[in-house]
Amino acid sequence: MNIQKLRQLDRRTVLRGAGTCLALPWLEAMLPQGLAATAAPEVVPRMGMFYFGTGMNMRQFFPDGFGPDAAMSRILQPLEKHRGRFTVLSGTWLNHGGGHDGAYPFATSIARGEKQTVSPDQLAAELHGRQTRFPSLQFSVKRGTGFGSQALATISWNRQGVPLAAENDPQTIFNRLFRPVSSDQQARQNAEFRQRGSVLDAVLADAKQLQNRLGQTDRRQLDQYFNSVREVERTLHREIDWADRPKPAPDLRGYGDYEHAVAPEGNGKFVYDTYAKLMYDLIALAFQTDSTRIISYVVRTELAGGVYPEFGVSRGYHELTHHGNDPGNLEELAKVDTIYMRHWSYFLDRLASIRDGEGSLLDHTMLGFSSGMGIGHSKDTLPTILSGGSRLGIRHQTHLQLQDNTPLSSVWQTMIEKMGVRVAGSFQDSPGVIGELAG
Amino acid sequence: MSLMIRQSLQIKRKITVASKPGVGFKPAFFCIASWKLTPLVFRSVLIVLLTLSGVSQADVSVDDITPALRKHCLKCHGPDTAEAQLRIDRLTPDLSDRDNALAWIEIRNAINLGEMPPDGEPQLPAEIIRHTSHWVTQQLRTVERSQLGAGDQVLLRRLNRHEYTNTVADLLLMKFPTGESPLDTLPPDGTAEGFDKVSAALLLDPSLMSQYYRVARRIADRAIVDGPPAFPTERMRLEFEDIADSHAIGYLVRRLGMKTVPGGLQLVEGGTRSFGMLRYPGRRDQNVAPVNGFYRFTIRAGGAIGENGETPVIRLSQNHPDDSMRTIMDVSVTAEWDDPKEYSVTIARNSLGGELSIRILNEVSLYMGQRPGENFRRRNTEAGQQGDFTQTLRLAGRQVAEGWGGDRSTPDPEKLDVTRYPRVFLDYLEVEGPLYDHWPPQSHTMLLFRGDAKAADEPAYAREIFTRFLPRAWRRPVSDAEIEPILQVVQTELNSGETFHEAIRTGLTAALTSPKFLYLAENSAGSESATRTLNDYEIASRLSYFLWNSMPDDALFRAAANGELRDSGILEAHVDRMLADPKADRLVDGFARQWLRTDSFLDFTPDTNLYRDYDAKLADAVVREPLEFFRTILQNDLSVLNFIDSDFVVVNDRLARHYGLDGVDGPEFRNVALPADSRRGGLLAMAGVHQAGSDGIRTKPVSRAVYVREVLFNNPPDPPPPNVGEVEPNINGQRLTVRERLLQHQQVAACASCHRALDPFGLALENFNVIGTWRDRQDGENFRGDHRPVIDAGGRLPNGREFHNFDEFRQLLLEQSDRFRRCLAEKMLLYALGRPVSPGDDQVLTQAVADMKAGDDTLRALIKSLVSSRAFISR
Repeated sequence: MNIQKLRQLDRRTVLRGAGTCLALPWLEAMLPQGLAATAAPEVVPRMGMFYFGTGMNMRQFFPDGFGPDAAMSRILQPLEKHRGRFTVLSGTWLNHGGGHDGAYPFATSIARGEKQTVSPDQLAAELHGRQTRFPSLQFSVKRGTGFGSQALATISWNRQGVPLAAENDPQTIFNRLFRPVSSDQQARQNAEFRQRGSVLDAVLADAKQLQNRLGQTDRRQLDQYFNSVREVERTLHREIDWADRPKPAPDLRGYGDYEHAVAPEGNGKFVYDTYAKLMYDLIALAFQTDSTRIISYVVRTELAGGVYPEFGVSRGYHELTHHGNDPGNLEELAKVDTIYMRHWSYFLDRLASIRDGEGSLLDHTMLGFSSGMGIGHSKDTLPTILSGGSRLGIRHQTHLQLQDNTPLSSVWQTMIEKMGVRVAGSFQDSPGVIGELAG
Repeated sequence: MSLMIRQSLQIKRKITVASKPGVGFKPAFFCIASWKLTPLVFRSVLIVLLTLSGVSQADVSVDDITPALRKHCLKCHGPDTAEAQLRIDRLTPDLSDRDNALAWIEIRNAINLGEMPPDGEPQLPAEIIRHTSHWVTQQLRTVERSQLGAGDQVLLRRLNRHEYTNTVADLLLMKFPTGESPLDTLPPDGTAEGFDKVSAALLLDPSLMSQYYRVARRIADRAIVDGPPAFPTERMRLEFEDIADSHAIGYLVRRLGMKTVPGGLQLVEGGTRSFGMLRYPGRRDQNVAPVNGFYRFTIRAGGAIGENGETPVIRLSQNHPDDSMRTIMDVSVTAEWDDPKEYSVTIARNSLGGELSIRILNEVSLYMGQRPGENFRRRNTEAGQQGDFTQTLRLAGRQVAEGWGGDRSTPDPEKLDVTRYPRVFLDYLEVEGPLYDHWPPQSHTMLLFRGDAKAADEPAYAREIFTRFLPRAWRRPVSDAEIEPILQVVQTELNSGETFHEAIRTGLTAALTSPKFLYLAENSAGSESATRTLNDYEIASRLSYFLWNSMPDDALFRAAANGELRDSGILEAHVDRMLADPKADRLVDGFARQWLRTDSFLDFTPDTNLYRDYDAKLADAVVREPLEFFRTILQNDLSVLNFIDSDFVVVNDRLARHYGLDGVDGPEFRNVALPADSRRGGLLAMAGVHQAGSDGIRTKPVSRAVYVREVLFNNPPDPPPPNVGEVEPNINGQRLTVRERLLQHQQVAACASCHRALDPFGLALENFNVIGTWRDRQDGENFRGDHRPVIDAGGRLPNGREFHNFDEFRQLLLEQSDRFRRCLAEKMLLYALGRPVSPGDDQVLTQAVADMKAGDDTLRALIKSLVSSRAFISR
């Protein structure tokens, strides 16, 4: 496909008389704009997947008792005010993982070192991605993928089983979502689109030439290149498609300062408390403006970090998780976990405060969080909570006892089916959706 | 009977779950996985199964174990009953078959944990359990290795981000200021077997692809410029005698530490700022750097040595939001007081910085910690806040008149004669920048080799430009047909009315985003199974990415064009030439950093309450030490056996203090001979290794043992059975040493055999505490006071040799130097070829060991041996 030639036509002219040209993929990509322009805004489902690396102090995590009236545990106390909007799930586990390998099977049920497969968020993105500026977004406290190490920085995987790199800088994400394209950039934009398209054409031609010199095994490696170039082309089409529409300009009163936001690495001014709120708020803003409907967020990676000076504890999170039954360590661990849950509560506050259709944004958003381990580096007794989504049909009951060793994938299956993804046959190692939640 | 059923059910469940597609074996529990190692193979573990020597590892074959398994297991897991859907008689030795492998794993785990055979049935002999465990593990490792690569075939792979950055720098003669380098923009790469060189870990995803495009575009913008630089190079100078006239300095010179003297400023304590008198012309802020780039800072200063013999040391720093950007340089002012000299550094700065300051680092304490001066300050502040400025002036006057100084406290009357202390005379501070080695940059004149184009000439000129450029960028001859797609890009831009420069920039972006640039590709069409000798260009790239982490230089390209590189003599001459080039230093960051795993050294932070000596400088030094040690060995052609034991260390002042070595002054690392009675020397006496094998409050001998076996012998222990715990830390009241707790663990039969062969490698280092300080008695954790247990670092190696202390242990390791040589050869072969070592490499490795021994055990000998091997020049 030659973008150049297409670009030489007036895109609007083509669009107006598009009836016969719809077979062209790039026009297909443009279609939603036309539709969106006429269709009335409707309430849409959103989902988020969240990873809290290195487990939690599970001895002080689960509520006391089961059912809607279960009493909040020490760690979950900050969530009390959201009773009825979330469910703590006892009995979830990962078939693989254990130790610090849990980030790999977290979303896909596939062990570290094995060929990965598409993650549930990306299945949902395939369904919803075309209607939003970003099909999905990957957030993390660490930039990139971290692939190969235990401290994986992302939990999203594409169809080729390639990890999707995450972004950790609130300022970068904010600019990508909301910073208006300056008039300068606007002027350059058409040229930039043309150049990018032209370069992609050239490198695709290069790749085909290169392919001829390669044997089967090497060709399989090069497939990643082909797939990536095609995906970048799709992104380009999407950008061209969205170029005429200004980015949303949400009301930022009551939000933090994104202009001077500090990313986690390399700067003495980093304050986690500020950072956590900026990141959670970005998710709320992205959902609110329908910039995307699907987000994954590695709130804490395995091994590294997780504790910041303002938490006022004596040791790093990983050091603390090697608690050795020392009450002091367990106490500090619970303290840190509580801080993370306070941020989670802040996040739910934010979503609940935003009106969406007949309810709140939280009512139309499902947020699933868990970890790759429970306590003591085991892969069962995971800290799993599903929040939000009441108006998507999630029936919350504060604390739900699942069968022992219920794969985490059943939580993801529950979420993506509510997103409208039809699961044909079995989904990962899931025994099915969680009936008590899904109704 | 009921017990049997329960256990069978358990097995059944596990197998059912495990046989879903895409599911593979991973040991279920890594207790202390602090070594971030070999991500795709088994990682370090605290409790590790390992067969006791006695049966050498290669001896176990499937025939040794199947008769016993049939005898004990067939009744329930055979054609008749097939409990848990497991049939022993259907198993094959082929573990590359997934279902078969999963069944074997289940068997291994069940018998290791003593779950099978069930109680009441005849038990398997311990030897069979051990052999089965070992055989399964070995087979799995072999399968995993072969899945990582395709046998011993080198696979197409993309450049890692270090290689990318170096290649761009060498290709376009560029250097990048902090924040502008591709290394700062591209995400970290994956690793396999501990190195970022293996195809299986160097994946490409769409987000990385867009990054490649963006990075290439920015490189193109730097490479070709329009007109003069937006910020021409300026020279800015601050004469310190001028500062004396400044109102700003008034409060500073009231202090004892600073005084104006003819021609400049005397500094004894504290520091001075630039007071807004130094800035890039036209800037409103205090910054000397209007743009991200390189700047030269020069201080003219002289010094006087103090009574204590200390040379004055000053630090030039800049106010900056990023901590790591603050310090510009530290200078030992050795020039005489009345004969000042210039001290210069060229360093990257960006536009976020602020004012400059110079501080003297020697500690003098001219002031006593007394209240009155502080009270003056406080009252002065209060009065100021209330707007009572009459009062503030009065207080300030009294403060000076009564001799309370300008500082927080009172001058120490004993120290009024400051000539006793190290002091510095500052003449001027000069900044020059942004510096441009060339303008237009070399990349510009290299690409546009004929200068600017005439309009009619543009397409032809573009063709010439890329005909010259692409063979270097893609590291091989390029056909006319291959140039076309790039020229198409250029033409599109020209047709759209862009300038010639912009059109070439876009073409350059395409050339750098092309798979021909991003991938190390060797012709592999049609020759899947047969090996062939590489062509000269392929060899040139292998060599340069091995030694330089970058593209070949002109000499290598010339040699390739002349068809010389298949000659091992010429190849070795290039090795000598390349090792002498400063680019060979990239082996340190590329190879040594990953081999020695220094990135993982700081995963656990020592508890500063227990280890009060620990500070940021020490943390920095312990990570650098092994790398500086490697650099010393590489540059001076020293023996690699120094990694096992050496009579020297490579340290800076902080680390020398940590090791109790005198006479090491200054932050730079240097070679220091060890006194005869020193315990240091060799990798295993380096504090970073000890810290990595600790969890902040106690040592982890098993982790240390795994490090020794993997890093020095490339002999990873078998993984532990699933769900084993780690060695429990001491809980309240307990005062067991780590050794005692490990010995307890060895009482468990399933763990004993392995741990006896593993633990000694770590327990031998027990004299080194969490931060690598030598200790004769237990410390850390709950150990305080006088009655701490004495450390016992003795043990017995798997080969039966006994040792009683660390030094004897090191000597025993030296006796196994061939195993170490082979380990190093394996690691370096993997690094050189970017593929896992395979059984077919045995001959190459054996030869490498022999060549090292014959060649004084230098890295050069090893490198030459590998480079002249058949494996290196064929695929």
